[in-house]
Amino acid sequence: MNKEKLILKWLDDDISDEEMKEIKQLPEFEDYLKISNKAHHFKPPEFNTYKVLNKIKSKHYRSRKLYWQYSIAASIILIFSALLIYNSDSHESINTSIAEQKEITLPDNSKVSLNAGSIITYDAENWNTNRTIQLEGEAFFKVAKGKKFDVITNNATVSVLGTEFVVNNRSAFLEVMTFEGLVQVVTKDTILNLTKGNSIVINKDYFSNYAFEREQPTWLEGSSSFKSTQLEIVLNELERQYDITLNIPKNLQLHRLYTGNFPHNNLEEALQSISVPMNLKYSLKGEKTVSLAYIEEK
Amino acid sequence: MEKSIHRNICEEHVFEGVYKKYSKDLHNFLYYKFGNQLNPEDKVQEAFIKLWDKCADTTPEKAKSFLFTIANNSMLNAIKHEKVKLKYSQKPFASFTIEDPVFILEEKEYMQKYQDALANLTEAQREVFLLNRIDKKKHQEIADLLGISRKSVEKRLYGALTKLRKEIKNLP
Repeated sequence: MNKEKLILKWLDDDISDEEMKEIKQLPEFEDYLKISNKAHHFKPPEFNTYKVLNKIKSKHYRSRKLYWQYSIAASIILIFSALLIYNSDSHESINTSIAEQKEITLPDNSKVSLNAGSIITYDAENWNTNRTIQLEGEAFFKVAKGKKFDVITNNATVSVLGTEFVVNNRSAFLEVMTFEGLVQVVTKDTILNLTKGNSIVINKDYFSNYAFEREQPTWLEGSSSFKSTQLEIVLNELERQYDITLNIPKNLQLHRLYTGNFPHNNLEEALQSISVPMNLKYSLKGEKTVSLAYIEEK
Repeated sequence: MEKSIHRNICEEHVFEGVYKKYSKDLHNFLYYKFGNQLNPEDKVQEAFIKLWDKCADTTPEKAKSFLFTIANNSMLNAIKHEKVKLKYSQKPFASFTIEDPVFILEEKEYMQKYQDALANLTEAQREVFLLNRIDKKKHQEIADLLGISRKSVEKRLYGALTKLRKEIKNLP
């Protein structure tokens, strides 16, 4: 293979054992290796994410306060305009932060339970004619009987008539569980009907379904459960439930599948329930940071 | 590209998400490119405050290029155009207590040369090289971060490595 290509593969950490043997034959490789090994001496000063974020927030809100007089004037004008013009844009937005859950009652008495780090948006004014909710994150729906009810996510539209179901949508990951009735999931390439006790998981190009027997999602009872779910999704959920940052080593295989659950009220126990079956060890660094690593074989 | 239901990033949790995703990368990028003569942390802070002021016009997808452009420009406007010298840290030597003094001296000399060679790289070469070697970023990630092609990342990277070797070894 061409020398430059070989070295670039090495630099991208994408080199096979065969190629590694080949690259070691190069006379200049020893020099390159030393240059690479010594690069860490030029590490930048530690960037304190939280400290800087707090400074940004305090400056932002201080600058907001300066304009309060203008804001009041503007609001008065706005209220008058709102009275004059029929305002059809009445979108409600409700969100939960890390480690928070909320229950929302919609105008038709349908109920939504929002899991941590999620947001829903809907049109409250025209709710009875247009039952459409946009969702980012995870929510459990108990839908009152009536017209079509749509949950729109970036991966699919989930439609129902009257039923109980969970939609969990995190970037490229989508999970839908039907607890009652019938749910239709429309993605850009398929349409699926899910009956009671069935669920599907779509994650990029990976697709699976499984049956379950619960009456409601476990997160409403204080734990998160997973069935053959990629480790990445599980770890993201852990971060959302505990307001922690995980340090994940580069060699951790985030696509490995995890089955099990973790509680929301005991961090140590939660960490153990994930790390033990996955052959990992963890260490707490301060209150907000946890490092994960493989247990080294002797 | 990921599509978001948020039309802008004014809501605090959306803003925080953007902040968590990009702040450290932005900080390290500024440090590798411009060094420490102007505090990169301050520039990160400024860029995010400006982003929040303009949050109503910015979608989450556009935030990254806004931040990198703003921070880069404010550095360019403030900086004296001197050669950027990144100081190497001496710390690791302290742990070698029973080291041969000749070895220590040689190592020190090597790091001096390394530091000078790094200063002689172009900004473009240095930022890519250090994002790759220190922050362990993949070539594609660097390309996405800087808004350039993967090919140009690799060209800069290979250029940086061969140039460093030549300078450190005093080769022609």
